[in-house]
Amino acid sequence: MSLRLRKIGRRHFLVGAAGFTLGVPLLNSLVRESSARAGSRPPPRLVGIATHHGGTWAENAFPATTTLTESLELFPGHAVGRGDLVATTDGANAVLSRMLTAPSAVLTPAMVAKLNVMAGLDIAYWLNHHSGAFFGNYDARDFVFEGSEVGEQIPTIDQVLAWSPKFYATLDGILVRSLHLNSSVSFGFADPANKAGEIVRLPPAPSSLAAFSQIFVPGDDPAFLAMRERRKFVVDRVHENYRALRDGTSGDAARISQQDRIRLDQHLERLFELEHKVTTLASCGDIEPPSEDVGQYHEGISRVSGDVAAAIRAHALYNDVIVAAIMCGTTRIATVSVSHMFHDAFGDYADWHNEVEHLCQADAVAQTRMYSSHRNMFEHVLLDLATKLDVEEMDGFTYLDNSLLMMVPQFGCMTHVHDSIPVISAGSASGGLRTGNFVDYRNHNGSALYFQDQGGYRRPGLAYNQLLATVMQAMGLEPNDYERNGIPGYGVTNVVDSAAWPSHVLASASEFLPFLRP
Amino acid sequence: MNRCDRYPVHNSMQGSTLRAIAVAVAGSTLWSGCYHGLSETAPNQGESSGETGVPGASDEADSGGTDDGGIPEQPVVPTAWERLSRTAYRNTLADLVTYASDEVTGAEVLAAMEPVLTLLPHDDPRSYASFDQGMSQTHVDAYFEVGVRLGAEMTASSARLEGFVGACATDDDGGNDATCLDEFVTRFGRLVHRAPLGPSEYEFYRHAAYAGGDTIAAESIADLVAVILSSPRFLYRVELGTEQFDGEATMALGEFELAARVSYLLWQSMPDPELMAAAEAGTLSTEAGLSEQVDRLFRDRRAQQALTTFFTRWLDLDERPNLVGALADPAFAALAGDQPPSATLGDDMARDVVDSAIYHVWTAGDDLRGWFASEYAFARSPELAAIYGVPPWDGVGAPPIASSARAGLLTRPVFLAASSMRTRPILRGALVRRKLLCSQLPPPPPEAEGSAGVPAPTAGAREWTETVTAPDTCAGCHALINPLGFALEGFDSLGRERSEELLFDDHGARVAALPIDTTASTQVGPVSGPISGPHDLAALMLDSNELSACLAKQYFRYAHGREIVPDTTDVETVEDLTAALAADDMMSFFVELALHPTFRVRGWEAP
Repeated sequence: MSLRLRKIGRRHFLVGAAGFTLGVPLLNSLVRESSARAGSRPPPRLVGIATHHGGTWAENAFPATTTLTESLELFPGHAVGRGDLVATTDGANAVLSRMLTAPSAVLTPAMVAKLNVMAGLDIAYWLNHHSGAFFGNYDARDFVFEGSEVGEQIPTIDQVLAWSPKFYATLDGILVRSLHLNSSVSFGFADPANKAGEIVRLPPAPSSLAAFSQIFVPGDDPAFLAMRERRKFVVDRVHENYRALRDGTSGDAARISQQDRIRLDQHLERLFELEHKVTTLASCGDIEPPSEDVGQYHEGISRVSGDVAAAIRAHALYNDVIVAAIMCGTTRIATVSVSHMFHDAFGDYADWHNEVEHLCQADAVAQTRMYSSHRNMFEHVLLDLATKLDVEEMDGFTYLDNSLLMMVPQFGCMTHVHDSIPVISAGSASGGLRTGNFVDYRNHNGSALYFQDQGGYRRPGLAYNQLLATVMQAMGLEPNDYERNGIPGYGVTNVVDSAAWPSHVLASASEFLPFLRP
Repeated sequence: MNRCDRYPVHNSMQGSTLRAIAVAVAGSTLWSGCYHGLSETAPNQGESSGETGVPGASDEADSGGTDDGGIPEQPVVPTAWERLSRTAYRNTLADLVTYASDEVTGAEVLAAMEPVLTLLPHDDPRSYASFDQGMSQTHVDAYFEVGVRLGAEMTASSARLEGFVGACATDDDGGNDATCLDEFVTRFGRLVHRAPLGPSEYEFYRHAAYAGGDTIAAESIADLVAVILSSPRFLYRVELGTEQFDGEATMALGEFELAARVSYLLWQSMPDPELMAAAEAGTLSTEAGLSEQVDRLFRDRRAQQALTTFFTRWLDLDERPNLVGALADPAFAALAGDQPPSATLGDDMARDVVDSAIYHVWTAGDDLRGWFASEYAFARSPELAAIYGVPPWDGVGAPPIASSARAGLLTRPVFLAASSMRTRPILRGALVRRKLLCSQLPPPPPEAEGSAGVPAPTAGAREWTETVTAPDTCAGCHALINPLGFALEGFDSLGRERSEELLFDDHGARVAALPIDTTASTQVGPVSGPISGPHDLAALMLDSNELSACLAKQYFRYAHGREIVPDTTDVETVEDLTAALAADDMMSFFVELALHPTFRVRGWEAP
């Protein structure tokens, strides 16, 4: 199942979940030429993993607070802590917490050193269910009703990065700016090139094979190369066709409404991207397309199935696509959602919803099921991907080292609320982030949050906005590249309890998170 | 709403303002006040009922709210050209290929196209497909690949080339190539654009090929196909009105634009040759001509397919519990007994609802009450028939009559099924509120999570529900939800009729047989009172007018792909639909929207 890389001469071969072979010519085509020449590390990649639901108690989600060995008085009366991330052993498993447990062969000390576990990152107002807060569009809520405060829709950070000239200083070799898998958690401008238009949800690739086709270029295929000019010509004509309608060469431009004109302008921008794509020269070396699609596991990864084996297989296939994309160098951004509960104790969403998600705050059995499901996600999604990427890319650094994988659940340590969202990361973003830490930003001296769950410890911490800002800085952006109207951090800034989250918390949200700066 | 209070004809609201209002209203009854209990009722409650003087559907002067010129008095919501949904795109491509060649060649090409069609992104599944109007890079890239591939497939052999372009494309006579190409561009362009090409469009496509020139070459045709398949007039429903339009806030559609609107509403596909001919003849602009075509399209099987998607999405028929997976739970397996659900039971249950709609709309010509309170079981499989306790239906003859304990739609198994030993009164009640009454229930407040009661292992479904939702923070909303679920307690988690509730332990051993209590007190719209079971609940829903108003709202949302905007023609359109539903059969209701004056116009804002 695991994606393996072994040396045969100068080539690395990867065996994907579908049994397809990723025959990768080491360095020659997979490492971007510029970085290879300079001997520097390649620009970092970001993989965002959003997991379904949440509500794992802090005591089950995080390592023990006794492992914190450093303390920093960040604000008066608000100390934050850090400790080395160290796994204990429980039989065949390595254990960081009940939720962060995996076989010792996978969660090795070397892997642990490449992880971060973060406690005390809060979205300080009530969102309930959402599908966009993971990466910054907090108000992409599933329930919007009269009386609720509807915030501004903003792009998720993957899209801020995807359209940042600092992140993509060059599009050489890039086929898609970002790749989206399973259900979508990414949002961007309808006209991202001009940062204009409504904020729209970006659809995921309809299947893993379709996703693979987005990022794959046949290696040195003469027919493919011969087609490039002709395809470019066709795209040019398509472009011309849109311009003709827009400008009135065909039809009557005076009868095109404001909304229609925006439509055409947005489409024209997409055609520029298409033109770039059909003319892009890249190489995936000897990578062969997978023969297996995630579609056959669709039922297994739906919210109504309890088929854990199918979910594992499906996400292995998705991970293979991400690995291939990173190794091909044809994108540097991916988001994937994990919609499955990854637990087979219950057969369907209805039961899971009622007997686990809604009871796990008060019922220890339900809580065990909840953290067990997220443990499966940790092992079979995050660690599976991290392991597959943890093969040498250049100069002693692995693809994982030059990436940042970030796994975030929908909720924090209590169902439907968003304080102390357990954030698990892997990789150092090409050295942009210090790893191997358990960081705890909760204010242990502060008062308990406005209501206390029955199984956990809840104290306010730092703004989740600061995490998003930190990630973007690790990816090479500066605050003025992402701040909105000069407001520090990234994300809307509603605060439900200003005593718990004083103004200085948000005022500092563009600061690099404590302890994580390399 | 008082018609006199409405905006005058050309009072145009900005689209962004309208969209913002729509977010808040969401075309639904809002229940945020339920946090504080039943005393606070919905703000829009009763607004669309007959008591406000909803005009009759047959009253031309009132039904559309139009002035003498057929232009609505209220502003029409300005929207952008609609992108084809994934289903509409696929249907359109299939029809295009068929109309452009013959069935055999078309089928051959479509089969070859299937792999590339998998690149098309799915529409956002959280609402009707038409709600997803995003045009992402994934869309644009996929459309391009489909166009390139279709061009290649259409020209993959001499036979294919001849099938699509004509014999002139493959004969030895080079002298007819220019004419051959002219004819193909004209004919194929008309199909793709769903309207005759204008002169400049013709010229553009005529010279779109990479190779260019007047010589027929496979590559030239392929390039032309690739270009035109990415055309805005194919991917969007381009509506420019007629040449008489001079910038008013309301634009009357042209004949071909109206043909496309009708066709995509009723078939989710392009107009067929007969509808195109009607548009060309100018008969769609007459009441009789439009009515004739709408009637023809609605009686076609493609209309049934289209409405199947409506009913499936409206009623969440594709979000079903995993009954097979639940058999791993010994208690559920024990409950199922000698009727363990198969993998196909869920599909059978969903089809029961779809078949009921098709039967009562098309075959029986019933009104809303006839469908909603239908006594028939549309159980095609022996397994579902056994759950109903009737013989299987052959799909053709008269359906068997279900037990008198059932009360039509509310007691169809798909709405009752849960993969647990206990039924789920909360989910059943919430489904009725949300889907059938269009109530927008808020999510549980944050403090509810820590305060939910933990029921005893011996609690039946009703006690379980009451315990979990007993805290003050939960009780307000659940007073609206739970009673509807309690009324359906006469049916178990497989949708079987029952007289007692059986409880089993974790090993599947029976531990209790509890009495069933289906009595409750509830409120539906302005009507409230005690109910003793599903029949009372169904009667309450029908009497309240909330059900018909909800169906009208949902069909409007499905048809227009957006929320209902206050103080626009949306409101009276929905009122007219509601009235049509109350006054006539369901077929007339579904047809009403396509015949409504507001369906023939679009809102327009100057750039």
